[in-house]
Order: sequence, then C-alpha cells, then structure tokens
Amino acid sequence: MNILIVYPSWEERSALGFDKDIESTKFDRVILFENAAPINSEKISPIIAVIERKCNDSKINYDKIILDFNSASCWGELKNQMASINRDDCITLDICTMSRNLIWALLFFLKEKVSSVEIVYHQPYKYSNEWLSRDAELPRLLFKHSGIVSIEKQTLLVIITGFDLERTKQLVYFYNPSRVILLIQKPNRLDENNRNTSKLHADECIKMGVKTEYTEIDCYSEDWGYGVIEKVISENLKSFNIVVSSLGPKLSAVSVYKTYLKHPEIALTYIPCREYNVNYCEGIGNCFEGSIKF
Amino acid sequence: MKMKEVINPFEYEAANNLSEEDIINYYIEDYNYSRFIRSTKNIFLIGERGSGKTMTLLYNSFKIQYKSCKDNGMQVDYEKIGVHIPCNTPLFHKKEYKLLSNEHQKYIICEHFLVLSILYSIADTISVSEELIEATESHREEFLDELTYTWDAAFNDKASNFYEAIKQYVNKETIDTQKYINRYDSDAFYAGALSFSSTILPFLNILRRVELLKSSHFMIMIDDAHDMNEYQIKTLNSWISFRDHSVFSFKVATAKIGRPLRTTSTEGVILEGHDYLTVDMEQELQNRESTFSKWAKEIVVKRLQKVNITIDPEEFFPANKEQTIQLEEYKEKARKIALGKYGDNQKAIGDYVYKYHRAMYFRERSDKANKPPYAGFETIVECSSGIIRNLLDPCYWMFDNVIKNSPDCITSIPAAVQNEVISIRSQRLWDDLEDGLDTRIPNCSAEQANQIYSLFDKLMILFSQRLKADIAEPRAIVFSISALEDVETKQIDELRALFEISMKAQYMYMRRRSGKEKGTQITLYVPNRMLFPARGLDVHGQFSHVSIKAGDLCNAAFRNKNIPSFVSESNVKQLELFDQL
Repeated sequence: MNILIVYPSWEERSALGFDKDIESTKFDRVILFENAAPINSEKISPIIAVIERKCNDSKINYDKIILDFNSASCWGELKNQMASINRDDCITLDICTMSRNLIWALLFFLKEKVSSVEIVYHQPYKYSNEWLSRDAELPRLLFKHSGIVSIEKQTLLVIITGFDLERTKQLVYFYNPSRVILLIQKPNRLDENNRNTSKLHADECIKMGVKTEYTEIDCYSEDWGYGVIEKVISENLKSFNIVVSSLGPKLSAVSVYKTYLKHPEIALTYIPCREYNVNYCEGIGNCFEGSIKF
Repeated sequence: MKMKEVINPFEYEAANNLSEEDIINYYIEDYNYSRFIRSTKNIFLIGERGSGKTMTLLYNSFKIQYKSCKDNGMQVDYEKIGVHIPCNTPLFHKKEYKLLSNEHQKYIICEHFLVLSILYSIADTISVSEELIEATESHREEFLDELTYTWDAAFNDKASNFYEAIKQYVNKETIDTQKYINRYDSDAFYAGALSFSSTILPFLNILRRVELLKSSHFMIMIDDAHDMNEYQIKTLNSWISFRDHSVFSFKVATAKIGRPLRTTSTEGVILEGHDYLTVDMEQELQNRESTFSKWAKEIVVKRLQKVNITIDPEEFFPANKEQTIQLEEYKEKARKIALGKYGDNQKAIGDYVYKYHRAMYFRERSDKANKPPYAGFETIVECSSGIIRNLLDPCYWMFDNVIKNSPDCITSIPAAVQNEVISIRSQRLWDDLEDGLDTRIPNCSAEQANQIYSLFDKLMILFSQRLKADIAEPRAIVFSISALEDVETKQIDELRALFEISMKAQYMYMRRRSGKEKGTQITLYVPNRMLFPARGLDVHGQFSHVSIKAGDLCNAAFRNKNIPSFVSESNVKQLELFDQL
C-alpha cells in the first residue's frame, strides 16, 4: 500500500504541496496528523478540509489523527498509529510543514515497520522578512533520542542554524555547552535579510562565553548536508556528549536522523514554539525528494 | 573550520569551562558567603546566572582545594571533601521518565541517574589525590568485594586503581541504563536502578575506612539544581531532610527564579533554618563601601594582573573629569544648603550631601543637554546591579575597543570609550525589550512582552521624575510592592508572571532586606541598572527604596499608565505572595 503521511500547517505550501504529492504518486492512504492545540488554527482548518475533500474525491483512504504534543501520551499514540503499517507498505513522508520532533518520532516508529521511507519536501517561494517564531518553550530532548551520555564527557552542541538567531541563543543558554559547532547554510537560499550568517550566529555564541566554531553546510545539496553533519559528529563523538539541533533547512532534520541512525549516542533536541508568524512564508518553490534507509 | 579568539582579561567564561588554574586565580575568597560552604550544614546558594554560584562551589571543591594546597606547598586538608556535581548535563535533561505511568517508577529511574552522577563525581574527585589513591589500594580487594555484594555489581579487575574501577562501573551502568531505556520496546523503566541509601551511603562509609578519610565530611555540591526534574528535586530534598550531617551535607546552587520546590518524595517539606540555610549570592549595592563593590574591585584587579596591568581599577577606568568637577561643585552647594538646615550637625550635613548632590547635578541639567557621561569604575560597578557577569561584560567591550587601536600599551580606558560602551550596552537592552522578550525568553507571550516593556518604561519615567523632584529620597531606584490586597488575585498573578519573566531575562533582580520591624524581611525589586544610561538617569542609587502600589504597577504594565511619582516611602507592606517570586 502507498501511504502518504502529512502534517499540514497554515502555510500555502501545505495545500499546494499536497496537490503535487497526489499528482506525482498514486496513494492508497493518507495519514494526516493534526496538533490538538494548533498554532494559527483558523488558517489550518480550511487546509485540512481541502485535503480531506481531495482524498474523498480521489478515493484515497484518509485518517486524521489528533496529537497532543504537550503530553507524553502523544508518544504512545504515535506508536499505536504506526502499528497499522505493514512491512511491505511504501511510506512517503511530506515533511514540508512537519515539526522536527514529529519527523524524528515518525522515523523512529517507521524504522521498526519498514526498511525505508520516501521523503518529500516543498520549499516555499519566499520567506517573510518579519519575525518568525515567538513564545518558545524550553528546549527538549526527544524521547528515546536523548543520547547515550557518558558522565565524564563534556557537552558539545551542534546546531544547524536557521533564520531565527534567538533560537540559537536559546539552545546555547539552555544546554550551557563547553563547545558549540554551528553548521551554517551556504549558499544563501531565500534569506534576503542575511539572518543565517556566521557573523550573526557565531558572534552571538562567542559573546555568551562559549567556545564556538562554525562551518558551512549545503542542506540542498545531493546528500542534504549529511556528509558535513556526519563528519562533525564522528570527529567529536569520542570526546563529547553531543546534542544536535536542526533549526535550519528542514531537509537537515532528515540528515540529522540519518546521522543518529549511524551514531545513536547523539541526542536530538528541538524547541517547541507557541507562536509562528502567520506570514512566515509565501507560495511554493522547489520540490526535493529523497529517501532514508534503515 | 574557523575559530575566533579574542585575548581580553574580561572575557567571560562560564565557571564550568575555566581551567583549575583560572578558578584559583580568579576566585576572590573574601566578601562573600563561601565560608558557609565549608560548614557541615546543608546550604542553598541562590542567585541568577552570573552571580558566582558555580565558581563558589568549584573553588571549594576538593579538586581545586587539593591543587591549590599542592601549588602553594601547603598540607592538604582531608577534613572536608567537596564534590562538585553539575546538573546542566544531557543526563539531567532526559525526559524518558515521563513515558512511565507509574509515579513510583518515575522516582526510581530519576534517582538512579542522580545517584550515578554523584557516585562518579565522588570517585573522580578523590582520584585527583595520589595520596588517597595510594592509601586506598591496600583496601582495594576488600572494598570491591564488599561493593560487589552490596551493589550486585561487577568491577574491572584491570582498572588502574580503586577509584578508576568505580568510575568504569558507573560509566558502564549509565550507558547500559540509557541503551535499555532508549530501546523501541522498552517502557523506559530500568529494573536495576540504584538508590542513595543503597549506593552512596555504603560507599561513603567504605571510604571513611581509609586512614586519610576517617574523619572526612563529604560536601555534595549539586550545581544548577533548577535543571533537575521534579522527581530528582523531591528526592534530593528527602536526602536533605536526613538529620545526621556528620558524614555528608548538601550544598545546592540554584537560580532564584524557578528555584526548586522544597517538598520531599514523601510530600514532607524541608524547612529553612531547620534542614538547611540559604545564602543569597546576589549582593546589595549601595556605594563604594558595599561588600559587592570591594569584591568587584578585587576581581578587576586580578583580571588586569593577568595581562600584567597593575593599575588600580579606579585609575584604569577613570571618571569623566568635567563631571567629577561638577559633582564636587554640587557637593559644595548641597553642603551650604545643609549648613543652613542643620547647623553644625555634621552627620546630618553628610547625609544631606550624600543624598542630594548627585540629584542636584541631574536636576539642574538642561533638558536640551546631551545625556550625562557614564564613566568611572564606580559607575561600572553600579551598572552591574551586583552581578559579576554584568560587571565583566562592559569591561570586556571597553577593553576590546581600546585594544583594537593600541594593542601593546593599554594604561587606561578613556572616559569617552567607557561612556560609548555603556550607552551602547544600555540601548541594546532597551532595543531587546522593545523588540519583545517573547522572541528570547521561553514561555513569554507577545502580550506579556509588550506589558513588560510598558512596565519598565513607566518605572524609568517614575525614577526620572523622582530624581528631578525636591523629595526626600530622589535617588531611590529600588522598589517594594505595597497594597497587594487592593488588587484582584488574577491580576496579581499576571503581574507576578511579568516579574518572573523580567527576572529570567535579568531585567530585574530581587533582594531581601531586613524590615524596620524586628524579625521581618522585605522583598525589594531592583531594575537592571544598565537600563538607566539610555534614559539619562543616575545609576548610583541610594540606601532606600520606593514603595509602589501593586495597582499602580498593574496600571503601568497592563494599561500603559504612568506610576504616580510621589508615593509614600513609608508604610511598606508585603504580602507572602510576592515572597515566593
């Protein structure tokens, strides 16, 4: 069975991306996850309604699953839902508006069910120049991905930086690492205001009194930045407990998970936010397709 | 990969990242409460980030004390063995315990990680001493046999010494637990979990059979306790409630905001004075004679010495000459007025000059004049609001500014550079506040961010009006809250949330001071003084505070209304609610 898993947001590309997904592949089933307390909910409901209608029109089986991300029970609920997946099912994950924690959790459960997962990502046409996220909660380590910590080692924080400098600072402040390595997207994509530069992010970390290094990564390259991430991790794994966060291009979240599969000692962290700019981005841009093998 | 390094004596490095030499070199033993640490009492050290908690614990740890004694050719003291346990590690941030439905199991697994951390730190701490390793070796077999039985553990026969064997065991146990918990099919419980009473207590008793440790007291120093989860905190509180302090005590460093609850795992409560004492690491700051000012001066002296500068801080950070002359003139003016009022009562004259000369200087400045200059070591100390990290920050940028132009010969930081840096740092604080703390501070909404900006804006207007008014305490820039009972509980809760966010963001600090009535304490709120220069206000406060009605603070924050300027300075009334902030 061909199964598409989506997590729509208020962004235009949620609906536009879904159209492209079902045009390119004939899916038998769509599993749609919805946040029990969605952000910008008034704009999400119509998008979900459109997806539901299109599934009906195209005679695709449709399951909507509501998850309470603020409760630990969400983990068990995901596990239960993924129990319906069979070993010979072909799974496609549309990650374009899916939160990192959900991407990683789904990959964790799917790893037990199938041998690979197809990934599809729709870039927006452009990002807003205004603020992106506000009212963040404390960073969290993902359940079952909190690393294999050695007491004698110090902490290294690896951040694939994004447009939001405050989230970089928040991670450094929270984990208080002895060292930070920033992986900064190059070449610049859709960042008209130069918000994701080494000057901004590395300087801020240095000002916070943390030994900071940075290196370039191209998450839109053929391997979605996996080579750079894996190299940084493998070079430092012997000396540090490593916490990794993907704040930058969404494709990096998949590369981070591939790295985790190779090095389960690393911890994966994410920052839930209660508010995102409703004008976060516009339209739909390039489509990236790949897969992750378990 | 590129690395940026700046050589600057004021570079701030979190204490955990400092070398042992730097801890010994930078730590100032006098003028703070570190003497409490070496007692056998349970102590809570409270203060916000940058107030010196970690530095105090680390300096008093056995690792540093041992090195310090050895470096200075002194006899090592084994009476107090300080064991530093940092909680801000990924091990403490693990959340898998939340996947368990059984409360008891949550306690067990959380205690397990805490116990492993303590056990490792004890072994690691003691193994810095060659003498202790040697003294233990003759007991090695006997001790390991005993622990094998007690802990149902297996040790590496090839470990280089007893403590190494313990460390290897802890590491293996820690890794095995995590691997098990992270498994797909595991429910996150680990049946082989260790407890304090079955692991740490027998271990300490065994250690005291080593001749050098026979009368040792182990100070278990839990650092950043606010990073522990609720189950670990309650477990720690249960240990703190043990009555016998002869073998071990706890020294717990924690933030003021978000300070852990004091309930135990059996829902009992630990009591101040009975089970523990509290030491506030944030210090009062009124004038150059204050304890903090002296402490700050010694810190800067040591930092400058590190780059071979032996100039007095007051000379290195000179005040603005013109302003100094003008302030002297205002002292004379104030003295003349006081003479007319108090005759030959020298104390009253001195008090009057202290209270009013700076206010007169600010009051008589033309509204069209530029902002007053901010320079001088005393001004920098005042800008710090009594927090070491805030002291080092502007010094770093001042030094950085000067070193760019004359890297080989720095004899002072010109007053103009100091003024420029302070003005920029102050404006940056306001810019961040205006942009909204919601982008920076966890659990702060956009609405709360606007309310906090409004609150601070109105506080500055209040302090500005008071500074320029002919009133009794014009330079009071600290406030207490009164008339809480006149405001609805819901609104007080909302105000309380704003204060908590402001304190987390270090825009506000909280201090306790003895009240006028014997045995009472009042809670004072201290806006970060670095906010003042951008508004042209005096950063030099005086030993008094303004009592502001809760309703007026609510109006300022929620309705953007000015705070009435001439509120009564007596009748300070406190409610317990804000004591919990």
